[in-house]
Amino acid sequence: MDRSVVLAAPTKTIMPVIKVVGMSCNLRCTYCFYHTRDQSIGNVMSLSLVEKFIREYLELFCGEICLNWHGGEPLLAGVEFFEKVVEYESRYAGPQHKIQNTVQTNGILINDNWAKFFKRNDFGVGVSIDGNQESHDRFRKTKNNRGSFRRALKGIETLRRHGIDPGIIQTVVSQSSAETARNFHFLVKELECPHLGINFFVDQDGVNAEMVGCSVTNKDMEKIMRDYFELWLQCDDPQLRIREIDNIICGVMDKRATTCIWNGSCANFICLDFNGNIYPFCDRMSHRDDLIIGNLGKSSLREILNSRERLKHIKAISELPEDCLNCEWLNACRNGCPSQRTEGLAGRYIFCAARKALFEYIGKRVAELTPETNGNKKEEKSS
Amino acid sequence: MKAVRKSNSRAIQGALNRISKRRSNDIPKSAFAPRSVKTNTESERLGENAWEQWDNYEDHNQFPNSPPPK
Repeated sequence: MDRSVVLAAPTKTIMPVIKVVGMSCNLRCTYCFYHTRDQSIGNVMSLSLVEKFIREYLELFCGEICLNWHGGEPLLAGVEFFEKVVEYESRYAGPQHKIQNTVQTNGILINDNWAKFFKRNDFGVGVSIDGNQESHDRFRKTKNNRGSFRRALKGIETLRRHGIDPGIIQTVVSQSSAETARNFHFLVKELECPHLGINFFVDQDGVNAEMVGCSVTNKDMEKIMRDYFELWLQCDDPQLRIREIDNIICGVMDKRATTCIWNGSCANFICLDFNGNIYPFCDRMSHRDDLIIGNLGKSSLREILNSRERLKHIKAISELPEDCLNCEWLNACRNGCPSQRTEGLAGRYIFCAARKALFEYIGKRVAELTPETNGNKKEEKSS
Repeated sequence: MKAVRKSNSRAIQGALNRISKRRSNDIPKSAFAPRSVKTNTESERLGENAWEQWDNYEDHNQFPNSPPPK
């Protein structure tokens, strides 16, 4: 019997994003890709399903394994749910496994009980904060259309009181390009965020009537990242990590980027929804029913990972456009995120122009400031 | 790949230190093509070290909505 499993990019494992409550959420963020759908359903993944997933996943993969608990808002599942998760992991893990759990939350439900649980079980925690109150509350709203800033900050304070310093994910929109200094100051100086990831809002299909004119353009992205880079330099803190800057520096130094949308490893993520549906890639495309590759309630995880449907989607995202194959930044970019490509999964990354400009700009700045190495490895190669 | 040296910027130096142990991004195209690898259970049945098949693929990986690595 064939006991193999299909991988499709140079990573050790397939990394799961587990939507324990599906798209259910206690907020109604205007830019969310679930915003036009009903987020009030209140489903929670069954314990039998989560146990099946953990058991089968640990049978397939070993080494350093990262389980990413997501939503919607994953904390809606309750602490008791996650206590069972940890119990199952302990039951099915062997000496060949080193399990890391992470959770991405809006911070609203975090209290002492949650913080103690995360600390006790060594969970990595990320909280979504878009900048200062004006920027955050513009889109991150409660069901009653009120801002969520103060409650999210209270959640971060609670985590820190228990010795957890969460990473921050900031979503930026077109208007953010005029607010970078203000938001950088808030996130880095006031909130003292040690690790920032930046996501760029795009409503490619034009389905969100409330976000017309808010999609980030190439010009916006280039300006935002150039501004952040210069502010980061001025800050001059070696401990301050801005994920996108690290990834660009990886690119100009010919190092493998840390994030799938820069290193081409999207095919080695899967997303498990609360009802057992499995999607190829991460949560960014888990609102697309046409991408479902199987259901864990009906098939084994290995069967789904090896399914013809999954291979079809892997092949679609792996075929790079001709432009990419001749691009000097191919290894640093890998055609970006499949969810943000023109003309479907096999299209061209919509932020191609901004990335090229940023590799050039940041490459030059790194070279100027790192004279012994000449900074930009590509210049070294060609000389 | 030359060794990473000193930057005049502490911020850049921090980034260079963080990425210094990462592998080259010059990855053969074949690595991105679907390929079968043995599962833990099959490796164990064959008496193999389940780690061996993964040795060439070690870098930590993130996705856009993931919290930072610990």
